[in-house]
Amino acid sequence: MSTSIGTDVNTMKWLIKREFWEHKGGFFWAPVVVAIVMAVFLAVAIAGTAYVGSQGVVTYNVESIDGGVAQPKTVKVLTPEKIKEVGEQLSVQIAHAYMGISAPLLAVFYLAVVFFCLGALYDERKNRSILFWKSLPISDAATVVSKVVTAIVLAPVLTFCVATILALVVVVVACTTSMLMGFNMFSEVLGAASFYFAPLQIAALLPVYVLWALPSVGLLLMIGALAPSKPFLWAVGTPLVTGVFLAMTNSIFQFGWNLSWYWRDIVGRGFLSVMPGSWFAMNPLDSHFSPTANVVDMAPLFSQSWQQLATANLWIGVVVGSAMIYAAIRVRRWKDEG
Amino acid sequence: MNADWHDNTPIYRQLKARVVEMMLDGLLKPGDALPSVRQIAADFQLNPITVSRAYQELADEQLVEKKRGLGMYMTDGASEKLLDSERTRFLNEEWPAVLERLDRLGLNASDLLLAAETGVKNG
Amino acid sequence: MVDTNLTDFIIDAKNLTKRYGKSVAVDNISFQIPAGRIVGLIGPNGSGKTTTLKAMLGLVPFEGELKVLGLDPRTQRDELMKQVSFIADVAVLPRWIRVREAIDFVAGVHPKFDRAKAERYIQNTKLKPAMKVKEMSKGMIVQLHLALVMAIDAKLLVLDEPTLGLDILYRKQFYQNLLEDYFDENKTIIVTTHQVEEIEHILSDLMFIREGKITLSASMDEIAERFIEVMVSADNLAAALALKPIDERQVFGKSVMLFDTATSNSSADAVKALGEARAPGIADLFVATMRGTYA
Repeated sequence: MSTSIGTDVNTMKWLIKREFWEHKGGFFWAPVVVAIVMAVFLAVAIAGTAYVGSQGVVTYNVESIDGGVAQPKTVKVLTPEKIKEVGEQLSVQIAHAYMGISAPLLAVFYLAVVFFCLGALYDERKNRSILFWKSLPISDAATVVSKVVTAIVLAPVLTFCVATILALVVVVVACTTSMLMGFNMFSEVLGAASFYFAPLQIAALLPVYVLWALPSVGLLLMIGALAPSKPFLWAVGTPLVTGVFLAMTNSIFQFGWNLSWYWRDIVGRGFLSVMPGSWFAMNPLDSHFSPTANVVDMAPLFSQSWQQLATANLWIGVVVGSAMIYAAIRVRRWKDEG
Repeated sequence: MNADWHDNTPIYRQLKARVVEMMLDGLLKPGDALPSVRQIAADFQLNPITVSRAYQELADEQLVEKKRGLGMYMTDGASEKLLDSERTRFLNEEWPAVLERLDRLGLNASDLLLAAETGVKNG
Repeated sequence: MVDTNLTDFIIDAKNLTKRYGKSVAVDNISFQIPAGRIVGLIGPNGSGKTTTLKAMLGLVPFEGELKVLGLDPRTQRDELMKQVSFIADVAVLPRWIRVREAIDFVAGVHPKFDRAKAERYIQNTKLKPAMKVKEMSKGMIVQLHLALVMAIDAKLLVLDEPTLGLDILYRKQFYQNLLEDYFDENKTIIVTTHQVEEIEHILSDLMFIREGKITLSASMDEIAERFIEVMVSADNLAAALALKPIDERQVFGKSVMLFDTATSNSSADAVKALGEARAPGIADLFVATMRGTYA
């Protein structure tokens, strides 16, 4: 049986284009709309906070009592010195960690990718459009691979671009606000090397992400390829039911199993690996390192991620994921539809 | 376009008959092009092989000829041939039947001529 | 013009069998289809005709031997699909796709797609480049699908109920377009349909299939010579019955009998002497040979 991915680069380009046409909503409009909403919200919040702060705080001056009533006195909290101090601190944090502003987009991304993978080999069976795709000279291997590439290369790159633009917009708003308040954050931020490296370092995590996410992509594609209906229910139900079954067996027969490996390495790895950064939580290498605490410096984020390639966990995942993708190709080739 | 194809004669023969009819009625003149096999097949919803066969038989009878790269054309001699075969058919099949009938009815040549003249005046 | 490197037959099946668990959908059938034919595969629902088509297109595994354009659909499907096209059903185009996207995609992935031809065809329809399939009527979807298929220079075209549920205008146009702009002596078309009358004169060959077996496989010429329908006059009834007709029905109080000169112990002349004779329509032939399936 021919499973050569040998259909050329041109076909792959068209297949990926087709995935984008079909899923523009999840992969493009969703992150863009969320980013716009976030940008507006953050801009208002930043400007608002700055404005309120600049108005000063009303305190009661016990030193000037006039007729038994303490006189109100407006104390400016944000003195020029304070502004400079805050500004300098913020500049450093922003320069290093501004990309973190876009973190909520990861939630959007996760949902988009999960539903895409579940539907990728299911929707075409349900609406029978698979009979159209199969009437063209495109191998099942090329088709499935194009969906994998769309899920863990095209989609994250798109979200990354939107995230970067969003983060830059917010930085500009913050710096402009601070300039209006008297402190030029622009020069501090733009002068920091980490400002320029941050997005590059995140982008450079893509290969790690691709390898780490493979078992998840494979599992979700498989569920979509095999489910007779409602793949989402199968996706949620199967691990739950299996887990409950294992727990019950464990307690009835007093096996004394430690089932955390099941939840972490099977269910977790299977369903959460498409979340960028999930390797920090699932396969922590340095107990002193926590990605959310150490936002001042991106460098550990980068090196900790690439060090995943030295772990067995990652490569076992690659092998299992690849096997499931291959199985999905076989299922698509031979499953008898209507 | 739709056509009623009878079931007692093969289609290609019916098609031939139609083309001959058109020639006899003067709708097709010598040198005129016949519609392409493809066109007839599409318009009448027939298999092109059926149409080809009809055209081939017409060509064999020298009523049409194939001009390379151009298609089928009515031959110059076609009207002659058709008139000839119509005449032969009339003389060999229809005329003897008419004669028999005249005999039965007891009509002769002068009765016929008289009827013809009256008919011309009235008709 | 004909490629002499191909095997003689476009489709060559020997002992083709397909089982689904215990039931046999296609039961040890054999047939050959040469190039340049328009073959009608007629059978009731569940007869195995769709399964046979699926086997030809490599969509299901099977037992036995089947070669399409000299290739095995099980192991050489990717190569096969470069030269075979099919319309599996009226409504399989993806609903989200736009006319121009469909054309761009097929143009991009199919080596034998003639883009200009597809666009010419679409210009004569009400289809617009930005239209999505979900906005189209069934007839328009078929027009789009046909535009794509006709622009592909495939050696074999398989049509499985291509006009199902369409109104008559679209149905007539469908076959007219195929004959006018697509079909030639190097192409072969296999079509299954319930609307037998509509393709009656387009077919060059006929295959009846019933309960997984082929009950009739012949060219239209052979059928015209072999099967004779006679309106039998009352005094010939006994003689007619002695010749063992394969079917009998009453039309305006007269007996119309269908004879198979190949199987009954009769000659064409003997049959024609019984009364007014003519070639049967495919529909009548089908009903006659299928009696018993519907009983």
